[in-house]
Amino acid sequence: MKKDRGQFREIWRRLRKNRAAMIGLSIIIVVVLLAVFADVIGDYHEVALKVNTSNKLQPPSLSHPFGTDIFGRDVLARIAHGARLSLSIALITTLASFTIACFFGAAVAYWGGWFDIIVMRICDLFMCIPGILLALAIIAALGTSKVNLIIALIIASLPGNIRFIRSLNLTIIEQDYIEAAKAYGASDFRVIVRHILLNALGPIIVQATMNIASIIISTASLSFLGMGVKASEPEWGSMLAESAEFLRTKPFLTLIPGAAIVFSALAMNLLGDGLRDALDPRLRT
Amino acid sequence: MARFVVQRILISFLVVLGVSFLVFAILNLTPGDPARLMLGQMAPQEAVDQLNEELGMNKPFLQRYVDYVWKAVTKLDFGRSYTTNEPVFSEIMRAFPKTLTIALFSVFFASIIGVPMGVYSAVKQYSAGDTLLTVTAMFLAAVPAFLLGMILTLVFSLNLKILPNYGSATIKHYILPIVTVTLPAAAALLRLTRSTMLETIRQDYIRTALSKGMPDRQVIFRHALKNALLPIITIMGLSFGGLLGGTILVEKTFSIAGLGMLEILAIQKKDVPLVMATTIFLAAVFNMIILVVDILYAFIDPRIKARFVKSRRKKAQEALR
Repeated sequence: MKKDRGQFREIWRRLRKNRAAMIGLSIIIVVVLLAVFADVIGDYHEVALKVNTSNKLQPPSLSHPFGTDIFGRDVLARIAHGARLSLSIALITTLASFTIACFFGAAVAYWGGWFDIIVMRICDLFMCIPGILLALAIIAALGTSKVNLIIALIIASLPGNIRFIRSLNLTIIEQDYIEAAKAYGASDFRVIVRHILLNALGPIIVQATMNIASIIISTASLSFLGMGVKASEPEWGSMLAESAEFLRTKPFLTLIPGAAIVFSALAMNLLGDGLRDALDPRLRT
Repeated sequence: MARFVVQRILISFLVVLGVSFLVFAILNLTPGDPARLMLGQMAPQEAVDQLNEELGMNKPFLQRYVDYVWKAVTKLDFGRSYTTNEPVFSEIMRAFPKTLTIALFSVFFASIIGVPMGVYSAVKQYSAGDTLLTVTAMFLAAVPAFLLGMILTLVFSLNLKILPNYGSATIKHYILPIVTVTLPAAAALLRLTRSTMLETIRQDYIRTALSKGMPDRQVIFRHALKNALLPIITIMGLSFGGLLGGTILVEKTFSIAGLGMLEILAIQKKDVPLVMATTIFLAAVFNMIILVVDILYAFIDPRIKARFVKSRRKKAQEALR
């Protein structure tokens, strides 16, 4: 265990020297704080959801730092609750997708044969449908809701992740220490979890970080199309769709949620790049 | 080589068949009542039952799928739209040229911008130009297509008033949508070209070419870029899928009545035949592009060519056997 801690400290030391990754991490911390303290910034039902037309389209002021939208709702509070929504959807989707992908990716790589062929051909088929199209078809079948959105995003991202983890594991399986583990009688489960997946953890974490960025963008895109969460909910993409009419007169209504999406996705990508360099300095380009 | 092409076309055909099955299965997940949707809530139950019978909704799932594919292949009949009662195929054919225009122009511009800039960035690694390009590309990768479209609209059509932002009447109407799809695609290609070129530049044969006194420019274009292009072409074909997805968002942003818009409206109205056909159609187009790229690739990559084209020596060896 002691050696593990040393390894983490070493990775952190390398990551800390990467300025871009540190900028990314700081932005992520700000977004997480916004999400955590969303209720302090403005109550969900009273400030972020309740329509108050007498207060609509206010310019930024002390009581409304980012102004108010067409329904008189405080934009800052909606951004904060939007952060909570986007982050939770992205985290749940990524965690679920990668857990399932780890299981399938490792199993098909380890056992191979017909199981491998069948699972991979199904993945290939799914990957022949562009991601957003697949998500749209699933939402069309299930109906629009937060849960269905998450299901659609998991299914749309799963085939690519299974393929990624499988190819990662295939190179590990050829290593001598896997042979050694099998030779001293470790069970299949133990070999897969302790020896294969644990050694693939670095690239998996990097890929998952990048995946969070693309899920944030997909969530916003689908909500913009009206296929994500309910229209009234403070989602960044639906805020943008609502603001389209006032683009000329109130550009900040578009630019503020737009900046929220761009900076969160950018920060995740920066952190992902930094993590890749920190985890394996040889790969540095 | 003909064998490879035929083999590849057959595989594509199977893939499109499989994709259509997936889409058919997904859209039949929920036990829908299409006749009720078409006739409205007030219609009498007998009329609904009769229409469901006519539509074949009472048949088992697999038979419905086979019927669907049979009609689509033999008569180009993808059913009728629930809402307009028009043949789905003619609606798709009306929307398709608009989507194709945006997609093809964007692929073209993205490649002629992205690849050369990627080469420049790799050759001048860590220079000011490289930093500027990579930072811009990184930024563009995080901007969703619809947001970029809205910002371009704000600048070029609302403030400067030089380009239209709504509809598809003239060529001018296509400029902003094409730029919106092109920029992120070019950025992605730039990043890909840069990293592939950097890998190639470190190969031994590049060092050999340089050390035997070959001019830099010749080494970069004749040795490095030629080898780096192979993975770039593959990913370009695949990125066409993302591009088709991007056009859906862009069509909505600029109110262009293309396939993406058609699909979104169809989903909102629960018009299942239209959703099914647009999805299958877009996926089929995507696979056709990948097919073309794969065949092109085979002509460029000597390794694939070698597997299918028998050399004279091999033929002679076989004749001797």
